[in-house]
Amino acid sequence: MFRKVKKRHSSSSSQSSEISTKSKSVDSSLGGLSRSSTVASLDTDSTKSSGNSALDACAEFRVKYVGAMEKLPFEMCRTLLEPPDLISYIDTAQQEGKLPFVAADEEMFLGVSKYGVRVASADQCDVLQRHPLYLVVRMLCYDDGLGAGRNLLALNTTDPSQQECSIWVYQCSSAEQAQAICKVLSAAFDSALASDTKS
Amino acid sequence: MGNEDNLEDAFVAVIRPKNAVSLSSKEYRAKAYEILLIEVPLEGKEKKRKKVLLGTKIHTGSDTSRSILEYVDETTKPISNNQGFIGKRVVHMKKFPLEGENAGKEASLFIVPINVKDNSKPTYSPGSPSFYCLQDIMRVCSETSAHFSSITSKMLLALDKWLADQHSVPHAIPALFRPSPGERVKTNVSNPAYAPEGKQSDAPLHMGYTALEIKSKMMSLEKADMCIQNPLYGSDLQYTNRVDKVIINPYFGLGAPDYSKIQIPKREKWQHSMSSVTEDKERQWVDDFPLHRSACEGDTELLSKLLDSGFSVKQLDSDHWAPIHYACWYGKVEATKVLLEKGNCNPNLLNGQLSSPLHFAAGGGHSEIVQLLLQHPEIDRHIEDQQKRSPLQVCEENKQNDWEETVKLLQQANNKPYEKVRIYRMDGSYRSVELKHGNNTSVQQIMEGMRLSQETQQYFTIWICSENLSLQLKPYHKPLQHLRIWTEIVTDLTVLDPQRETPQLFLRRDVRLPLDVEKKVEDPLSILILFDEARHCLLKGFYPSPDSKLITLASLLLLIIYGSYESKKHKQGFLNEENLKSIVPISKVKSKAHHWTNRILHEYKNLSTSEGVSKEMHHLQRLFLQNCWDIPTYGAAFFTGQVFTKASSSNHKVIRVYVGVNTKGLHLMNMETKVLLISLKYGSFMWQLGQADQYFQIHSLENKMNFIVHTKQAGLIVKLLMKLSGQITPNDRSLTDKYAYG
Repeated sequence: MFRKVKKRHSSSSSQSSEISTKSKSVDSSLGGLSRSSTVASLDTDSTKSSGNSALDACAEFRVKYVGAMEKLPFEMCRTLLEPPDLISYIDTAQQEGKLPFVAADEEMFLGVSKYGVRVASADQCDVLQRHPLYLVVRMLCYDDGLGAGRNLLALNTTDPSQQECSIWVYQCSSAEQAQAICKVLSAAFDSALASDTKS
Repeated sequence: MGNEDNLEDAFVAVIRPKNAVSLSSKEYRAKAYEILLIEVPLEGKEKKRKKVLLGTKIHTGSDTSRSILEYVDETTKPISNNQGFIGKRVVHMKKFPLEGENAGKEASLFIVPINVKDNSKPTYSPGSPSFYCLQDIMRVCSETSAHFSSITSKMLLALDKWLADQHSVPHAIPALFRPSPGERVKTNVSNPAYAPEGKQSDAPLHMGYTALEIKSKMMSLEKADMCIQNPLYGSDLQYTNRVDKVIINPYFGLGAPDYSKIQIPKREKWQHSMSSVTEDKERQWVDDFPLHRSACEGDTELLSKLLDSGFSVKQLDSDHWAPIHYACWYGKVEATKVLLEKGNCNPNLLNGQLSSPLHFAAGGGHSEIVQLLLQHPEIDRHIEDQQKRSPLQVCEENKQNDWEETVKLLQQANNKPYEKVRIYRMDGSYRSVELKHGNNTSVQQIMEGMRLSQETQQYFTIWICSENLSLQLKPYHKPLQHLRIWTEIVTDLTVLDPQRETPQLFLRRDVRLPLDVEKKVEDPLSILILFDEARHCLLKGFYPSPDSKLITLASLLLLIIYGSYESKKHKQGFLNEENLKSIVPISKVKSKAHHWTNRILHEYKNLSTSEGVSKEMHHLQRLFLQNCWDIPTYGAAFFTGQVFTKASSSNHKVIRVYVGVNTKGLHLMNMETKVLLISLKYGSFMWQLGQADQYFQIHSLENKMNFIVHTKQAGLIVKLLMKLSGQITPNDRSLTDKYAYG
């Protein structure tokens, strides 16, 4: 079914066009989904309320992959609870050469749905990573601070037994895209709850 | 304030670039940076001062970065209008061993990058640190420099090297001086399922759920909505890579076509031709294989006509099917009947895929045809297809049409007695042997059915013989199929009229049986069978011998047939022509036998009265055989042929001959007179097979004589010569013998 998704023209600058054609239009329903408890960003539309977007469809974004630090002790989730701590941790890893500063050129598809986050190769043939929603601890969007305006997306996940945690770092094409990914994930958290209450 | 042991010495190098441009420089220049140092008085010398790095003590295990940043902030307040320098981050560079009183301990050097130097004038405050150009510092810095404390010197040298290293790494320097993490946070999305426990009490429940509930809800999403299993997985469906169809471009390799001449056919035409590709193929098939088609359609009238006109029921079509396979497949009862009866088709005929008509009929559930086939005397009811399935299995697997009735028929058939075949002995007696596999029954299976002892079995085998052609069969041959095609064999091997040659199966001496072995035979039945055959051959004139030998043999026969000599019974007139026929060769009966009667009776009398001669029947028979063994042609297989002799230069004379081949050698006999023309032992002659197996040449080494025997059986003769002379070991089955001589 991945094959059926048509590739979009890469010149698209607008964020909304980044969302795949097969996905529901996320932007329109995004507004009310950002809750103060989950989304820390200043969202101008946050006063609107909706929250019933069943995110059955998958929003897809083209991102680049920076790297990952896997199988860290689960305690890291607690010590890196504050966003600056997580950023600092990644910064240090970069400084020590454990993570690259900049992502490789190859693009990938990052899909977000109520089932979690899925990273597939650019041709959508191979699913490279899958992070089930219940194992996603946190997603953090931040500026890499190197002056080029690159936005990094840090994904903090754990394993089913909560013994370890991993940090996955992606590089977004724009600040808007990074924000959109966070919003969709936030909506996913909400819709996971919402869809369940219905049944 | 805590345990002393928890405190660790920490030195802090606060550095800042002089301007933003230096951040992007790939080359390291110390003068681009400033470093914060404190001047302290040199011990003992009041006037001299030395510079040291900022130093503090930190609690190990606590938030090192925060305490260092706070320390820097605090320390720098006096020099920055009480604002303090906010470090962007704390980078732990490395640990240095301490000297002097603290020897054995280590101190860490932390690098705290801060903002680019601004234009505000530095305020000097005594006792407070101030910024120095790194280049200036490094110029005077050495391990032994008095300007710095020794640990500071070491650290500065290391810092200098570290900065140089960082410059060689892309992005490392901009990253070092990039804004602090707190300034760069944009969006943070936390999974409510992992809400920190401490905060749970004061933070409101997310949409009314606890973290645990939320997590379980999210986990339930992981459960599959739908599960589809491959129903074929685990079934023993065979993988097949058989190609259904191959289409080869007939124009491939002919070069680029002239596109201007290529026209796209009109749509109607194109559509027509597309659909007619298979039609064409079928038409072709109909043209090529009319007998198949009529069988297929059950057109018995046409079928009969075609059979009359000489179409072969054995012909296979392009799919390697014979007509009977089509008739059975399509359930054409009458057509099957015509093919079997009129066409004399083999009911066990296999197609290219090794399926039999019975398999087809059973598979299709055509009970009438199955019955028809099962009634055929030659049917092999135990026949198996390529997958070793019986017709019954095929029928039960397919469940077509009238399969229940068909299954019944097939099961009933197993209880019926088998057809039998007569295996004759040379004395005219026979034994009927069950044909368990119909005409597929092999020589070996028949031999087993003969119920001979293991010993007896090895001396004999099955021969197929008609008036003028006798062939020994191999163990795997199927004699009934040879009977079936005997006319073809006769046509192949002789010039005789096949209609006058009626074949029968015989149990006869194996031509390969060595005399040494035969001489040791003691089993009465074996001796009897050998005797019968020898007597038969003698009387037929196949044992050309001197008169004396023939007379001895004749008297022995008298003793065997009539018992001991009695003068009253066995007088002169007793040996009339009729009786002579049963004791002397037919060729001698008229010409000579009359003159022998006295001598025969005389010897008969002697034998009867002789003490040394056992009157036990099988001893007498063995005595007879003993007398035969030295006859050159004893135990030979006889072929027929022609020899051309040059009676004079002008006219050829044709002599028809018997060619006898046995374990001794090759023998030529005049067919009419039964006179032995020549007898050559192995080793004394050479042979060569002529063109197209139509003749063979013999070269006698003794008298340098050459002669040629013309016969269609030349191939058989030469093969047998090779075998019996020891040139071919019995295992050497490379030769594709069509008929005979195992």
